[in-house]
Amino acid sequence: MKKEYLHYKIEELVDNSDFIAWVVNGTNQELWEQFISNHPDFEPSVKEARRLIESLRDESEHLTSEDFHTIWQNIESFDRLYKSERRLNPAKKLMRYAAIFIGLVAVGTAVFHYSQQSQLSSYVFNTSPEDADQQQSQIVLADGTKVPLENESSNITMTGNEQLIIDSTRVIDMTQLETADPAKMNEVVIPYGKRSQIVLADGTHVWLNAGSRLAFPSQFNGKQREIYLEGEAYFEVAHNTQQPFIVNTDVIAVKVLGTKFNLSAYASEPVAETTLLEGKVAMADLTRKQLFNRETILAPNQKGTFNKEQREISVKDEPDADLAIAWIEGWLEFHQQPLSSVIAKLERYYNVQFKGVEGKNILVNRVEGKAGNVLISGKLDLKDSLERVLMVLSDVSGLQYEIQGNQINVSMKPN
Amino acid sequence: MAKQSEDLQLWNDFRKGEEYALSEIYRRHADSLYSYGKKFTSNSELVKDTIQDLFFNLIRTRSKLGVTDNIYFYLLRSYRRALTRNLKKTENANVFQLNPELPVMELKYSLEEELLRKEKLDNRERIILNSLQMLSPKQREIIYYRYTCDFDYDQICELMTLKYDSARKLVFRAIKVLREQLENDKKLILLCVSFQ
Repeated sequence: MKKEYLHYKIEELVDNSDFIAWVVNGTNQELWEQFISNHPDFEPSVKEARRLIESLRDESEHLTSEDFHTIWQNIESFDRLYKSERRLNPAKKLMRYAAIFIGLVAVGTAVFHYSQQSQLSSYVFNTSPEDADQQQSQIVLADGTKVPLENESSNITMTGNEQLIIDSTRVIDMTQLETADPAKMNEVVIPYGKRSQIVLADGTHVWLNAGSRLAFPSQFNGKQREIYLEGEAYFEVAHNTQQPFIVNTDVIAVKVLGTKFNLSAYASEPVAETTLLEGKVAMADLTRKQLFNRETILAPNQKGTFNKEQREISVKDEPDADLAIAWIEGWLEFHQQPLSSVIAKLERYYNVQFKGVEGKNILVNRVEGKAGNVLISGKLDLKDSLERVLMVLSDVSGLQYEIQGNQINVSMKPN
Repeated sequence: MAKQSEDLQLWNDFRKGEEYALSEIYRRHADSLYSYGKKFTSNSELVKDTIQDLFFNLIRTRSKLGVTDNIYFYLLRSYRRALTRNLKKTENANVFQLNPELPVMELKYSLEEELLRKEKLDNRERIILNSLQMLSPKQREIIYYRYTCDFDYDQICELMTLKYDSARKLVFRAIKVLREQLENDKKLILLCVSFQ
């Protein structure tokens, strides 16, 4: 126990961490008692300081034991569910949540009905995320056959009579597969550094960006056209009001009647974004426990951003909506975008890792980091070599870099 | 120190996915979280929902969580944000609201609420009520962290995005106000006794 406490004013004692810890948690109880009995003059100050702290403590509101248990039961079931379904598709997750929370939910007006109508009660990607880390693009057919895609940017077309055409050279007859179930999904896996173009059975065009997976059926039967995306893709959806088109991701679903939009839903990013170029789409949050969910409607030149942490969809105008799809032409255009998001995109295109030399200063916090806040405008041609792109970036951002194989060390240029 | 290494261990076990850790964290902190939430709103359903969502989120982000040796503080950081957000949402639900600003986190002491409800107050009660009401919302919150949660200044500054110096000043002034009031109170009691 420190002797100087004896000379403390009451205010100082009340503000001393050791003293508070003793009063609040009984830390060093014996030491304090000893100390006070050795210094009886000190006791009145101690008493008054204690009284002050105690009058400031406030823990009077308690959970009833019933509430305590109810909340715990919900948490425990959520935990079990989450463990068992981490890799199942969102529609199924929603159904299970519905079963658990149905007692809590009142009947709403805007009914979220995607999952109820879903022809597929569950979907799991057959390929693992690691497959996307490999160098080779591939398509995994419904029966499990893996077909490698040779080109940097390959073209896949699913014809109306279930012929799969790859790069206009190879034709696979899907009706000849062992699992001839047309609702069974085929998966395209595109690693970082590669891209692909896919025409679906209904004529919808999909441009699949680097580090992405897309699952689609050989034919769209049933009430709606449903596909699954992880990563980023641009869609030009064939118009068909009778059969709405739905893109599911792990956190949101986007429902379309016939339109052009870009959807970016990388698992590693804190947000999932939908940018609408034409037509009308509805975005729905699949992470909420509610069965009845509001849809967020987007108008052309609007961007809907789903924040995974806050689990909220926010909408803002995006006058430069076409910049969002510049990547399908092989270039990236930015207008006042944070450096961190530019870097995340480059990592995916060139399959490299950026590392900040000054540790936390640069890239650790992609969203809020200091350098991450530098806003970038400009155009990068992705057909250029990585080195050329980095040179341009370094000019506009004040970033200096050094390439070491797959890793790029960056730091801010000294002023 | 013992508490810190215990927290460190428990939190790491949770991150690793050990079965017992989730229930242990809930058992230890659910009640305090509730008590804290109720300081800001009388809406107990909102508070309970926010606690539940906080744990859902922990489960969801389990593998990505950082290290901590003070679990309660770690929880309060996201819990405080979530409470503000949810409170704002319920306010926004009122279409006719004239003032669309962010709600100030106004912490009410339960003693204060109790006294405000009372029709007649004795002298001592009036003094306590007066002194509590002399505190600004920030002072109330900071004092709650300091004396009910036993947080240090670094933690308080992080929670409330304050500078160290201003945090200290706020606490010091609050203590001064209360002490003066309680001094008066003491004199008053003496006065009463001598009259009797």
